[in-house]
Amino acid sequence: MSIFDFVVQYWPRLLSGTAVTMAQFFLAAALGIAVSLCMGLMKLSQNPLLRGAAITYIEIFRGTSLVVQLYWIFFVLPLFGLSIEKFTAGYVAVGMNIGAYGAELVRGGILSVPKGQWEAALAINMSPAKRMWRIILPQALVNMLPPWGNLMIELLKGTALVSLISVADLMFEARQINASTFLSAQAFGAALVIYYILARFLVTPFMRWLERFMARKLGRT
Amino acid sequence: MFRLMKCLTATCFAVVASSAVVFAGSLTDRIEAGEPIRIGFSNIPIWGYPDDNGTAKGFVNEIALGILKSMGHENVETTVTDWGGLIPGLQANRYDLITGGLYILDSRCQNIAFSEPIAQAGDAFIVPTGNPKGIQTYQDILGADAMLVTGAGYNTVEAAKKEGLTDERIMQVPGPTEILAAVKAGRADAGGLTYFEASHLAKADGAVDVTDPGALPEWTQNWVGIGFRFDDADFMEEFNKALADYIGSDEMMQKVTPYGYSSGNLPGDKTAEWVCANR
Repeated sequence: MSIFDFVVQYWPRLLSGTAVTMAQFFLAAALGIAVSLCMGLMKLSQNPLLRGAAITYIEIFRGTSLVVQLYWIFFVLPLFGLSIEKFTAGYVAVGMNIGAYGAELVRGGILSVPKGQWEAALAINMSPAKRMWRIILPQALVNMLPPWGNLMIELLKGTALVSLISVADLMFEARQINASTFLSAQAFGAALVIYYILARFLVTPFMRWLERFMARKLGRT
Repeated sequence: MFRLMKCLTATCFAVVASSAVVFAGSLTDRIEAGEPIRIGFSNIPIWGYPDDNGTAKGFVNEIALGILKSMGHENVETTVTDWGGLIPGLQANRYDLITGGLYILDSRCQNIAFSEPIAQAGDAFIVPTGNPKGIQTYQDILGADAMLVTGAGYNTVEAAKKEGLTDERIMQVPGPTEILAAVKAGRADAGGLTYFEASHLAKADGAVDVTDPGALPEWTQNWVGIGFRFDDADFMEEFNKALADYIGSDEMMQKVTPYGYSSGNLPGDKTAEWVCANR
């Protein structure tokens, strides 16, 4: 069976899988961005307690495998009485993992803003929060956008792991079709192409656009 | 800075807290509360698999659903998972019963409770067409210096080790599809599976043959049960009562015959307790 015939026959399942993958991606990205901002700022804090919490979080989530974290949330947490529904468990695990990497990007981005900007903001008597929000973060964002593009693609591909806890995403559908038809080349070939299309024609152009948009906002074009 | 951080932290918490958190009680409580019985199975042709619409098929699923129906339970929710995720998922309270088509084995009895047997079945190998290395038994694999491929967590792993095969001779993969792929690609010389699956694969794919299940030692013959949590012993007792009436009934045979289940596969007079102690 050619890959074209294959897609014609199985497109409803591939499509529903792709939809779930996209949903996982967006939810995990939203969670990941929130977590990385929190943890990145906390790691820069003067307060040793906040800093310690951020370091612990980053070390644990960056230092252990995503699959292990996923299995932990799905199979082990219920033994302690906390049972998270599989769809939620999927994007929470992926988002929290990516958040740990993102936290370092946020920290790096903030530290790369020239010292003079901090001093100037202080000189015009801005409060620390206002300084961060209006002066430092926008510039930091421009600095860290290119690596964030990388991380977002990584995240998209990372969502394939949620198929292991039976979330019916694209990878799950491909594996199920493969298991009942044995058409490995077509099933995984189609999944490969769809992941590539999502990464190449959705995530990358959006991040590029965002980079240009932010640069224009700061008058750096 | 502090206010900003408070706001961000609050967002984090909101995101995490908004995710649904469910606390599941015992199965009897759940049924009384009108919640569905959750069945977990894997994608194993003939035994328990989803069809194109995701409906639970396979003889183990048919029997389990038939028994539940005879008990008056029709509110059932089925989930497909990895073979290796069945027992962990049951223990993690993700499923209430698992129908994968699990053999009752001592090592499994330590971790989960089994219903009375619903079938007995033997194993066989798939080999490249013509069986170039002449493999019929585990001893043949050992003698021919060949490679066995089988599924991670399968009973065949234990059986092969008992017969003297070392880890270097046993390749473990996630499931039947990978076993077939490994034999076809020449990565292994024989694929160990249940006879049901092996003959199904041999029929579906011309590149492999199935060996004679009778050639394997008698002790590799196994009994199939449905897995429960130890905590649900009360429900399992009811289930076993219904099971005794259902096994071998015309209604059941009608449903399972299309899968190749014949009267020779009926479990006979063996109890789960006996099988646990002897397998």
